[in-house]
Amino acid sequence: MDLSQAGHYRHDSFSQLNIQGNQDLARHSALQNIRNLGQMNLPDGSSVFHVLPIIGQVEGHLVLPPRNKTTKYEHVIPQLVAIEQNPRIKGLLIILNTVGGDIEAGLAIAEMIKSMSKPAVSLVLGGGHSIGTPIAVAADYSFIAETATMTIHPIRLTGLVIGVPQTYDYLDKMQKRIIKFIVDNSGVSVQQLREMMFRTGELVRDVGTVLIGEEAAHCGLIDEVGGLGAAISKLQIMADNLENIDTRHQIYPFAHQYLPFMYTGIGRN
Amino acid sequence: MLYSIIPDEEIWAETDEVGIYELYINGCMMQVASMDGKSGVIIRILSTDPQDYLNPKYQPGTSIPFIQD
Repeated sequence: MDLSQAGHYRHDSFSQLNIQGNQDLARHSALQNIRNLGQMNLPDGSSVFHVLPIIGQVEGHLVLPPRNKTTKYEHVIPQLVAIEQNPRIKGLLIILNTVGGDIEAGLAIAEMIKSMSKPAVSLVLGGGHSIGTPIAVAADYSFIAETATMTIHPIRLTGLVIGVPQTYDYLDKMQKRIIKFIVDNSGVSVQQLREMMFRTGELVRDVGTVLIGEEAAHCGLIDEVGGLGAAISKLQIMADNLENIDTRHQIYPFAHQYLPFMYTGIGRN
Repeated sequence: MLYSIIPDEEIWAETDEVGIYELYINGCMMQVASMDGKSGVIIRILSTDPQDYLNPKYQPGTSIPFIQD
């Protein structure tokens, strides 16, 4: 079978492993789980909140070499569309541990998250650097773990660069659209963000600033310092609020049916 | 254009190709490493449904035989 061709595959429950019966199958998978991960199987249930992990490099137009762990644009965008459309899903938790990546792909994901009608909460764990910043602030509410870091630094042009003033203008334009998105979607001011972005002396080989946990929340970039529990309860509150609004809207369409009767008295006596 | 804290030379460093494929198995997208094309080992699941990650059949490291639909 040629696996390089995209397609849908199925597997018939470990048939090649010569296991008979569901109990044996469950026991086998539990054993395999302990062997591979050192953990027991977890109980089953259904989730109303979906999770979108943004890990490694954000991959866009160019396929990165396989040693890079990547989050691919073409995986994430359809998933966001599916989440937006599925009525069973009440909210989205975005977990970031990214080193940055493609600007276009990163901003595209950020714009998709921003324009979602369902509640979205982001949680920066480990690191949410470079293009991870717009993705983190795109959510309705953002959290950062106490030990997580965010590197705010300018974009760079590498490779063969034409040494004309227009090159700088282009770079500045690209920089501005990232700054604009971050400022529009968080509590940080343009001046503050620019100052952090072009600060010297803090990064060894680069200009920029590293924000750790509380610092990111203090400057207004991230809403709050917190972890998984806080993020899920925030999502729950937002989903509940949205549901209450929805119920109110559902009553209005029927108003034209019962209001005339109330005013004319038809139906009473 | 990349906006990353990882230097470009590190990102673009070439390594040996390994047989990693992205497949939908029973409707769940996952990355699978496969040598022979008949079965593979799950590397990671690419799903937003947290329940998929709890499915004992889809745990990373699990080997799965596959049959094309």
